[in-house]
Amino acid sequence: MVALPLIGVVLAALGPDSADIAGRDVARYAATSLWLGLLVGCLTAILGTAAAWLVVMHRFPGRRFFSWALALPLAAPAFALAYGYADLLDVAGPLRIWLRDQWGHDLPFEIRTIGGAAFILSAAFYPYVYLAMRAAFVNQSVNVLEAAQMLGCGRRTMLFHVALPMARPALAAGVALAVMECFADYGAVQFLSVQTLTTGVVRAWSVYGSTASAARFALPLLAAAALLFWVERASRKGQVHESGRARWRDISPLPLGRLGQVAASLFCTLLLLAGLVIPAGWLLWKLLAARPDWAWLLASLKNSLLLGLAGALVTVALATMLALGTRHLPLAGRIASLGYATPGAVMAIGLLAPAGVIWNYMPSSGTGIAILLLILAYAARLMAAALEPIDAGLARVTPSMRQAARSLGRSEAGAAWSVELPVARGAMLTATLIIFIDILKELPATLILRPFDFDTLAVIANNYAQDERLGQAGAPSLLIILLSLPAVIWLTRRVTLARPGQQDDSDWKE
Amino acid sequence: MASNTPILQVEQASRRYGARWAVESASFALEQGRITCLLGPSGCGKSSLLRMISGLEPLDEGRIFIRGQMMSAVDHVTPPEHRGVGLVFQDNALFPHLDVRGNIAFGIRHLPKAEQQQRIDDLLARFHISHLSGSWPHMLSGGEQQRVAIARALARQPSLLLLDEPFSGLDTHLRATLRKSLLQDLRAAGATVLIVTHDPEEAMGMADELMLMAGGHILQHGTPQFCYDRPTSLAAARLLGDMLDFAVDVRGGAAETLWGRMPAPLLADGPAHLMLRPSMLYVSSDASGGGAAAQVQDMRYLGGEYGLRVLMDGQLLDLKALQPIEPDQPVMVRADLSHALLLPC
Repeated sequence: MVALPLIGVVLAALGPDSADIAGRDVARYAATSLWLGLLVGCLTAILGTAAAWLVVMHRFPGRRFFSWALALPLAAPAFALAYGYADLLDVAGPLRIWLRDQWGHDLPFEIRTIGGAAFILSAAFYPYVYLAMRAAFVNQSVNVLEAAQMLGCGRRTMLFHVALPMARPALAAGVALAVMECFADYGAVQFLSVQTLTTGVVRAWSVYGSTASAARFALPLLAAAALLFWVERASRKGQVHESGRARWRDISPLPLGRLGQVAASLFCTLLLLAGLVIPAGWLLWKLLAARPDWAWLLASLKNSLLLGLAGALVTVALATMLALGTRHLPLAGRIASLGYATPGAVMAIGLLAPAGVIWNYMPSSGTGIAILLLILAYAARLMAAALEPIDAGLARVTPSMRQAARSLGRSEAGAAWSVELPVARGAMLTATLIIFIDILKELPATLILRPFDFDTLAVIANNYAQDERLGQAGAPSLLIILLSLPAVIWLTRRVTLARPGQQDDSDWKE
Repeated sequence: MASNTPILQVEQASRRYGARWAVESASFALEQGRITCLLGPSGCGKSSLLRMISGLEPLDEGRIFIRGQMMSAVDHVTPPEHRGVGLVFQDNALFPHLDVRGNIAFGIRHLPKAEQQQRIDDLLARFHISHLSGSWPHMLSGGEQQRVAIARALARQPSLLLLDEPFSGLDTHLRATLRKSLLQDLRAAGATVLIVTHDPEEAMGMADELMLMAGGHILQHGTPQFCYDRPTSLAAARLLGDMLDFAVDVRGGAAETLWGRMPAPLLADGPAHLMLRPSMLYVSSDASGGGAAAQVQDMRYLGGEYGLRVLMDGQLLDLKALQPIEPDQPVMVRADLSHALLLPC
């Protein structure tokens, strides 16, 4: 069921084309995507790694705060950042006018370019690298670092010759995630007029109404997604040996000189400003001057919440069943996870073909079926994001616990119900929140599959932005941030304040 | 139920993994209220046998009866939840989402509340963990976790309690104390218990009956003393401690040993094994009393006694002595053959 959209894309791409889009155009879009992905990959790698290394290994003012706050940009959809920056840095915008008047200079760059898009997407997606690298640095064994020190390594040698090589799998995984998100993004690049494959998919469908040519744009995306997914998985395999049974001691952070402290705090502050505070703040400022259409906002807020909740519940339920089932069928989890690498637009195009069949047979089914399809698209796309924490949660149930439940009178299903699900409760909540946030931020699949007149916050933000009414687009964007921020704060605090050894250490005290 | 029906009866039970027999035609019976230790090296099939008894593993041959009812056969396995067997895992497998009381109640939720509470309170008191009833598993020490796991298994009043390597995760000096008090509590509970272990000291210290297992076979079944003094094979003998093995010749109903002729009425003429525990040999620097000539190669103080490495008749032996004997001295080794064993080759 989850693989359905993937098959749909391939079949659609083979079908007859009505829009007549040249292969050269697909290549041009692909080149843009590739270039953008490369830039975002490099930028996020550098920013995320530097931030993680600073926060884990050094002592400076605000370190504890930054250790979780640096992940907060995850709450903001990339398109919200794009709206904020594009408006703030517009050639005719207030900032540049002021700069020109004051200094007679203009900023030497233009935001509506590949470079600008790369900056915005990096500001939005660096937390993926940051979180992965932070986890890797925190999990590295202190013994190895101390051994390196004893062998005469300075701090810099330690980073480049010990910590980074050990964390390479995490780096690959984090960058792969960031690049996947970059390929999947529609709202930001579309607004910045950067033509990537994903905008190609949506345009081929919405302007030319051609599923076949949309699918043709989608195919290279799918291939890239599969590649990135493979990179992410392959790099994770190497990590297993690291997390052995070694006893963990706290890595004692090294103090920095006065200048270093200022620089470290400044770097982290700038990242947080760039990733969340400046664009969101600017949107908020613009909002004060605007007169939002509250009725429409409220209606779409309701729709967003409904989709988010329903989608999250369905996805988590499916993921849980899958996680419990994959013990018998390991391949199923692999296939289901492929969806995560697949951009939402591609997923939606893939679902259009099967949807067309349903609509042909039941023309009156309308809204209900459309919403169902949309939820299915969410589930297919986000399955891996839910599967991962749930798998980790279920891993806490050892085979002997399962067998103990059996010998204490439970059937196999009963053991799953009374032991595995309660133990994985926290993980399921985590998964629900992650999916909820992702659905709130999702744009392209919603745009393509939503029923007529069914708007979500992301959709109306996009509509306003298309009409260059940024003041109005700010309100739904900020609402999305507002809704996901508490969840992101709770999640990142939970993830980053826990150390792997913590629980074990308290386990065996007499 | 007739009182002479064994609690557990295993008949010719076998289990094969691929071409290898993990357990090969094991047969034995356990009587009500006895504590039996199944002793064997790791990989000998004892854990497989335990899992077969508890219904977690099917049988390739043979049958298993519990209280006279057939529970396992080649084409039938009564699932673990319907066997009335309690199993305590090596890692205790406490449920992390339930507190101590919740863990013990897990298997008896079908009972009326009052009866549940009564049973839980009784078990908590019996295993001296009443003060822990509201604690969470991760707050408990290894020994406490084990008591909870045993109480949890006993709450269902199983006909048979199985313990898998119960003390393997614990400190050596804690083990002896825990073992003793646990043994008392298990006896007071009147449970029929089968303990799997690889530690001979543990097995000797706990068992009413001992079962020795190696290479998928049950070698011997009897009281600890019988198994120690009258092993049926060298392998069985060595499971319970060091056993020295000397090649001897049997001729005319007696064996020629280094310490003279030893009667062997049941053995045919030919080569045989003479088996002695190291404690049956005495090393002395006094050559006057007779014995076998030997040389001490190395000496080490072991606290209260001395460990000697002795070369005797081309064989290196690790022996003990109460008095120090400096290396490179000729010595005499005397033997007490009254408990020595002769086995055919």
